[in-house]
Amino acid sequence: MLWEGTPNFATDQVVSASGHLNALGMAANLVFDRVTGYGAPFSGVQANYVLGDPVITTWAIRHRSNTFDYRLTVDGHCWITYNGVKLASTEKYNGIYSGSVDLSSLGLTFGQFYELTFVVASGSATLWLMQERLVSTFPTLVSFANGTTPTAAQWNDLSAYAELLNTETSLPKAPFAGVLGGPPNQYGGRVLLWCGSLVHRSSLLGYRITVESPYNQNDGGGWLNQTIISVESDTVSETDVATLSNSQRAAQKQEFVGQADLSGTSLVIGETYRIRVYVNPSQGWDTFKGCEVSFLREVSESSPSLSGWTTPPTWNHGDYVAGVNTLRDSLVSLRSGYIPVSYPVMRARASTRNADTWKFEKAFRAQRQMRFLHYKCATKQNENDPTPSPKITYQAFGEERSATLAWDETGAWGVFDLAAQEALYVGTEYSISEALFAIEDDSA
Amino acid sequence: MQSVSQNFTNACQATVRQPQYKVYVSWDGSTWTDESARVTAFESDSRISAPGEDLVAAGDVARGSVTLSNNDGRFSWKNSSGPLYAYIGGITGPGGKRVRLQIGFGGEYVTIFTGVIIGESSNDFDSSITYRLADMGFAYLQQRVSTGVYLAQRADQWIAHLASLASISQTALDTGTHVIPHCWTDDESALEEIWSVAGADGGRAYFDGLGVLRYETPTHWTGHALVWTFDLGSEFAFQPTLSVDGIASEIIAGWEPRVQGAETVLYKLDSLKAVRPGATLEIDARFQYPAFALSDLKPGKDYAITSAAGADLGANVTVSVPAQKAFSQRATIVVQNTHAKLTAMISHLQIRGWPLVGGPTGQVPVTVSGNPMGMARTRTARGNPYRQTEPQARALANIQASRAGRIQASWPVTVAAVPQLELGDKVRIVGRRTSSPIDGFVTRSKIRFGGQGLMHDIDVMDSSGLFEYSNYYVTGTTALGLSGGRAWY
Repeated sequence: MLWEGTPNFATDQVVSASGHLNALGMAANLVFDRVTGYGAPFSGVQANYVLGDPVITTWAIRHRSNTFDYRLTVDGHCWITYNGVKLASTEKYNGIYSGSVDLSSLGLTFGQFYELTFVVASGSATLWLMQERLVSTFPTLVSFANGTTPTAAQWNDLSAYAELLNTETSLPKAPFAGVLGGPPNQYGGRVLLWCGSLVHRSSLLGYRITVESPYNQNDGGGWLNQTIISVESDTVSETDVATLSNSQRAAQKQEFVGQADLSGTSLVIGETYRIRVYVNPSQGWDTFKGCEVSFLREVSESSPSLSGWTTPPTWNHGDYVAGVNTLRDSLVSLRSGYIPVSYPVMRARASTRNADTWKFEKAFRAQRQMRFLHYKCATKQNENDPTPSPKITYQAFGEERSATLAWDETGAWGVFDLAAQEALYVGTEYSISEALFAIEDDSA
Repeated sequence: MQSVSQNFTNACQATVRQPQYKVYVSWDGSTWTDESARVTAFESDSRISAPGEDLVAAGDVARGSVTLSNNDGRFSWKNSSGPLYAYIGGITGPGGKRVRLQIGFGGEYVTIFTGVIIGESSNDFDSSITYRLADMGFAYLQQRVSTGVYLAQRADQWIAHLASLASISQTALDTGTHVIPHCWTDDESALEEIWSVAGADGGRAYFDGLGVLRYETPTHWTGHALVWTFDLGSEFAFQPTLSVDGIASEIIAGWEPRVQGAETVLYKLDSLKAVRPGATLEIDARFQYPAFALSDLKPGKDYAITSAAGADLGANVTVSVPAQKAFSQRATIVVQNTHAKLTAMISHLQIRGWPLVGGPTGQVPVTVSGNPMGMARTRTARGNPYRQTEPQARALANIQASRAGRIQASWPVTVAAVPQLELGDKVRIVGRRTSSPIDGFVTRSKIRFGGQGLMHDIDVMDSSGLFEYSNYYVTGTTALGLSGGRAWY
């Protein structure tokens, strides 16, 4: 992510407009964009135990912090493992649970990739959230009010504050792990297709959902089928925020690309909320054949706002060094309500559905934020197995572009330089196919 | 100005002065020998340019000389019976020996020059020998250093690192203003790199009379107080030197960004190489680009090593790049063949990594107010690899543009030596030729001792108009607000 550094101050040093003040202002502006911008949710799972082996779902993460949070509901028995080790406090029976685990005893290496699993040993359970959360100690800033004389150390606290914000907003980012489901096994009522959690930062929840209607779509009246997105938090009861009705028929797909407005939901900036995507078939014939949730994420509002934030002033040579308190207060506002988390990425879900030709190729989707894409592919179990051909796909200048990622036969993590790919700019939406896991990060 | 006692100051200002001098030479490299009794003449000459102007030109170090009586052949480098023969009788003669010149009053001394002997000449007529001297910068000028790529360095941080590599132990560094995104050096002169990074933002680096490496930012002279007044009366010539060299209608400062490029092959072996059984081969690989980071070597992809008959020697040959032998633009590849009988043939060897590549250069043009010459004249500052950001270029262009609209006056005066004065000191000149005193900064200090006694030639750069404001904001001193201090560029 773009970062131009922060200045150093020394006692008796003349303060520079460009080198000191505007550099701090730029740092604050860059963090503001990130804090009010893109955020992809954690892709959770609802799993039901069936006689036989426990149901295991797998994620991967690039380890950055020893503080690990989770939330789950269980009507049965479940637990979470990290790098193959059962996290004892996550083993639960019957209830709604959330908590934190100190990972320091696991002897993990910062920057290494690890796998996590959610194990459902009996009954059913929903894993809503897993995240590593960065815990930083921020300096206490003096007021920088006009008339005060901050020391060099106090000025440097401003820089340190900005640097910590940069670190917190630059954690590895998991792309959205899509899901393809259907047809439902019931008539009427909502069927959960996708669930997860996200820290609320913007009023706009973007979605990309494709619904395919069956060969005998009933258009005799009323709605045909619906895909519903709802949100819920500890303070807000479940609320529908988008209802997408499929009007196509006869085995046709209809793609819904839009944004759900969360502004009327009373969600609080900075709180983690839960998202559900349902399919809601009609009372009659099965009204949809398949539903693909390709992408969910919060995106920047056209004019984002943040409580306490004012765009920092710009200083020129000769301007009085005044109004620094505005910059100071804006830095503090960036931190309030922001939770620095890194979500694990769910292992890519099934790439084909039943015997139909609709192939879920693009398992992950993201809006590029960072420099590198780390990915892991499957190995070949047998010599005759097809060789995985991982690639990324995106739109540029009105046409589809793609780039092939190198496949490592040992199954080791690979890295792809997103910045080296023509027209794959920061903010460009792209999909990743034939990879088991994918994570964006600024470090190779 | 060096700190001295009031007695020293009084003696310096007295109408009748009795200056004393000391000349020390470190013949053995660790102790100082007092050669003052043999001194017949000496001279030191050092100079700096104004902050924001071109830095002290590379290769421009302070100079000096000392003449010593050599009746007994003490300093004759081929005199095998001389007491110094063990130190000066080698192939370098007295070259490189450190010298210290001091001037004092009443037994209290200040050092006016610290440097090294760079040459000698003999005068058989009066049996004297004259050593030519250069300041400590000369000692480090040829010292070459290599580093990896360092990120986000201030000028003082990078200078400190280079100084450490060159074993420059004494430094006095202002805190740099801007952050330089990428710093590295590849077998370069440490001192030339220090000059370059100092000049990127319009600062300067030089060795003072005490042998201390100084780095000063363009703001270094703001807020200086007067330390000395020269009342010349009508006794001395007092004419300004006027230079139009700095006048321009436009200033252009260029900057050269660097970005981390995509992984690429930085080095590739272009010929077969063989490593005998049990031997180790070191290959000095120079990269096409500075390397931000090197990729791990992978067999098959980065190297292929077999016996001369094609047998796989993967189990017997190790290929590595030791961390201590990897720098920004070169590395040493170590190939070790542990096979007792077979020769390892290297048919493919490459180093991949992440290069630091140059982005499109940018430039900041600033029009000088008033077009003082009435015609176009553009001064440019380009080609400094440490000027990598637009804010750096803009600050430098604006500094120079603020001064390019007028003649820069320099006042050369010759006075009785004030040895405690240092380059950059703010002084005042009062004379009959000027209606008001001249305040300025010492930009040249030449002290001469010889037949005419102890004289001091000083150039004083007129400080009027050097800074647009007199009330810049000083960290830790000035209060914030509209009645406080102003921001620099």
